[in-house]
Amino acid sequence: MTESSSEIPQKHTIGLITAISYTVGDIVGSGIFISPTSILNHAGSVGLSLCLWALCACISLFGALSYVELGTSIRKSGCDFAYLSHFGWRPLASSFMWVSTCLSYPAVLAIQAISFGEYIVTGLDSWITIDENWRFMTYRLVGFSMLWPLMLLNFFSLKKVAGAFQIVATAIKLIVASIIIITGLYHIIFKQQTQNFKNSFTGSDWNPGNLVLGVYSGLFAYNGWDVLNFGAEEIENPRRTLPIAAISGIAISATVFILMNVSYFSVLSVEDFKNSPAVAVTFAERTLGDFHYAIPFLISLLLIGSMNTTIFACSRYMYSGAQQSVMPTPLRGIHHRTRSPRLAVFAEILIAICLSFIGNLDQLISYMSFALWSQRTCTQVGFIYFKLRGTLKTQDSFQVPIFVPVVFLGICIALLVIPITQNYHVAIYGVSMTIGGAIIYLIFIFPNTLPIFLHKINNSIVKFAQIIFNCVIEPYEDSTVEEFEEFEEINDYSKKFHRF
Amino acid sequence: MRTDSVTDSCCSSEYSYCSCDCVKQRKVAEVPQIGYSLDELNAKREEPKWRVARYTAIAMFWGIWGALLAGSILIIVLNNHDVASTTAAPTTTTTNGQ
Repeated sequence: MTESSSEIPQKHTIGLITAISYTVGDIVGSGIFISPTSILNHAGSVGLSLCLWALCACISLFGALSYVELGTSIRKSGCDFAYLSHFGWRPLASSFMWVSTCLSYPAVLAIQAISFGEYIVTGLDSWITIDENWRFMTYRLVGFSMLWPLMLLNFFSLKKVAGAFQIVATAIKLIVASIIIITGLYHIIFKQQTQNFKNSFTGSDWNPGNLVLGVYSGLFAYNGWDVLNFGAEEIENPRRTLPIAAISGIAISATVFILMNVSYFSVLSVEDFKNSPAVAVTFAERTLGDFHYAIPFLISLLLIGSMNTTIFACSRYMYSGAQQSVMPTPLRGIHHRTRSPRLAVFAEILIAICLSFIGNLDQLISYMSFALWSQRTCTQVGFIYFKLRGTLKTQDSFQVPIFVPVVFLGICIALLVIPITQNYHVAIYGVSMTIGGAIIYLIFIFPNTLPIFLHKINNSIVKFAQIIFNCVIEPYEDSTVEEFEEFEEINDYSKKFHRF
Repeated sequence: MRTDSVTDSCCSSEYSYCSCDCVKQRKVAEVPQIGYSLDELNAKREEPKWRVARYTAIAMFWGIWGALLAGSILIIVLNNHDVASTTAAPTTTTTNGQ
């Protein structure tokens, strides 16, 4: 038990550069290759789609600032789960936890892996054309070939290995994006190719439902501004790092996104855009000559960074749930020296691999977007309530004006309500899965005592996992205990909540 | 183990503040160890039986990765429309890319 302080592992391993790298790394990724076509389909015109991209950046900024205050006030890893639990809304937090860890985040990871495989195979098409029958399997095998070693990478120190890797990956992202942006600007400025920008708003679809669906796609691309909240306990000087990383991350990403779209439109017409399954590749074919053969592989490099950030976020999320006994106990294991939640990383990869063989992942993302924004709506409600009561304020928290979470709450509600009028299945599936999470809570988590044999099974599995992954189980320190006044008030509110 | 479960569900049930706090105090005083402590773990994992298990797990990791790579390369090389004379080159490129 006795251990000198010099041997105690560092807890705060994410510096400012690493933090910005994770934020940009999570935002710039699959979205820029999936969302442009989707957004253009909903917007109908060049001008309106660019406006939607800018609008999504503003929405993300409001959300990011809200979560920065939450992250500096409630310094727990696990993002929404930590905050909802802190508010005392444990059943709700548990419900979302199960939906997110079993469906949402692994689905994102699976899409990123498959996209990686798809771009590699697309790149090879110049020399070798894979039979259509085998493409499904090839995409996945190539994607998992990259995902598997990334898992190993995240088994080690965040500061020395995963974080350093993320800085390099993000730098590569920006370099690759710059190639496309510079090429596009060259065509606009020197070759005067601006025909696609004349009558920019011709063909616009002003249907509010369609616009919101376009915003949905854009927010999927921008999603990731809260990645640092998942690992809040590991951030150095959160009050300074979180706001700078969030604002810088969104600003850099928005610039990249809008410039990339401008570049695409300088060469591709609206019809070309809609017909292209991989818009960056089509763009490269027309502009970069022989070098265009390299573009798909370069884009694959971008996706490596995205996979790394998703692994980071989801594993910390899962670990946070396990700490509070919402997820299985083995997931609480962390490597003593590196503080990596290895079991959570491993579990997440396995779920992602299984999910990737299910049918339509893009459709699943739509359903999960509903659940994700439901969770954020609940978090914002709690945030506004407790902020107004003053119980969230601490000496070292970053304060934002009250209208920021209020505006963001309005946006969350709009994003939940309007799509239902377009496709009520989204809401039905989203709510169904959340209810499924609630059922799991009632059966396994809520009961006072579970049968003895379940405890024995649990302990055996924990011990086996500890030996194989070299992890220890640390006792959990509940943040509510440290603030008695706050705890009492939350307790009162929770009683009212449970009466619903 | 049972105590730990009681503590969690007590908080979940949102009983009165005092009783919840009392249970939490007890939890802090005597936290039941789940699984092994660090020292026990270090001793246990060095036993011959578990050492073999650990090395097997490591071998399985690299084996699975090798299988994924081999599988994807085999499909790319064998299941295509035209087998060009430069088949080897793009495979090498892919490997370098990763």
